[in-house]
Amino acid sequence: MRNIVLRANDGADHVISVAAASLCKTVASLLQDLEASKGEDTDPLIVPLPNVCNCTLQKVLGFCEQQRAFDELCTASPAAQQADLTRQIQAWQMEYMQVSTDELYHLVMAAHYLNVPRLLDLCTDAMAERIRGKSPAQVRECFGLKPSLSPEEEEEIRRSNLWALN
Amino acid sequence: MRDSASVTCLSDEVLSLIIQRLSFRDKCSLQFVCRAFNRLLSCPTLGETQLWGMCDVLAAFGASCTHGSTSRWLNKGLLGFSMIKCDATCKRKGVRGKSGIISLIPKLCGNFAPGTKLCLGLTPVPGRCVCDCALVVC
Repeated sequence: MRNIVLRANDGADHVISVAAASLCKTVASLLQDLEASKGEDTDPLIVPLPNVCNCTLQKVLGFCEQQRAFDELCTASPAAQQADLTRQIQAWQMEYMQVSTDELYHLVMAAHYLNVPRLLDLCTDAMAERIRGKSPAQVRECFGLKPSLSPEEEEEIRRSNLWALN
Repeated sequence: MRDSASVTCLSDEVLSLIIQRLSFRDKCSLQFVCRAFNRLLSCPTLGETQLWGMCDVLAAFGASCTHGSTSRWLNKGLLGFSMIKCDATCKRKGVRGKSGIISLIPKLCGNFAPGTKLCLGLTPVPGRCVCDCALVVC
């Protein structure tokens, strides 16, 4: 089987399995095109990813490899062990998402660009979790945002949402 | 080395995925956070995305579905407030609740495909409680 090399925007290369690459739908679709154009070439397939930096790509690939391993375990395990396995996966995912806000931004952008639905779900869940129950000021603090709305605009929103905000 | 990112780097699609996971209260609050969120939450439609769902309207009334899920109602092409117990909330919110809900209708209607029949159970009839009103918006 041919090797797949994903090249980050800083030139760093990562060799991954076809199975793990298939979780990235963008890569999977690029691979199909490359395979079709190159035929039975045995050279490694190099996929340049100009929108993803090395450290984020490493993190994404870690997710894909681990999810692939979990998928195989789920298929091989008897029904009685599935609940335990689900707990293991959730624990791993919780640990995996222990990242800074900046890392989370990059991760969610990469998951979207590479089209990794499971990672995108996980990232958007994590972002929503950081918003839940917080005041606007607390959300801004959490995401390092400066107020971008003028007092007049805020007043306008407040006025039009009075019925809901009371 | 990578540049630092912020909410403004995220596409509308990603932001909407985040918003959809939030409760009505959180969405209301999010409007004040920054322009990116406010723009999306002021926008009636975003492709097929539903940012303010029917459940949000129900939540605005302090009500919840008492008969099946919102999606099932939508599949039937009908969503009536007669199925919602919201008398107490209507009294509490009074006219503000009515005008507020009415102001939300254009946002909501924009979220549904043309031709979808929605019975929102609302109409701006002076002196009548919204619960008593009925309006089919097509």
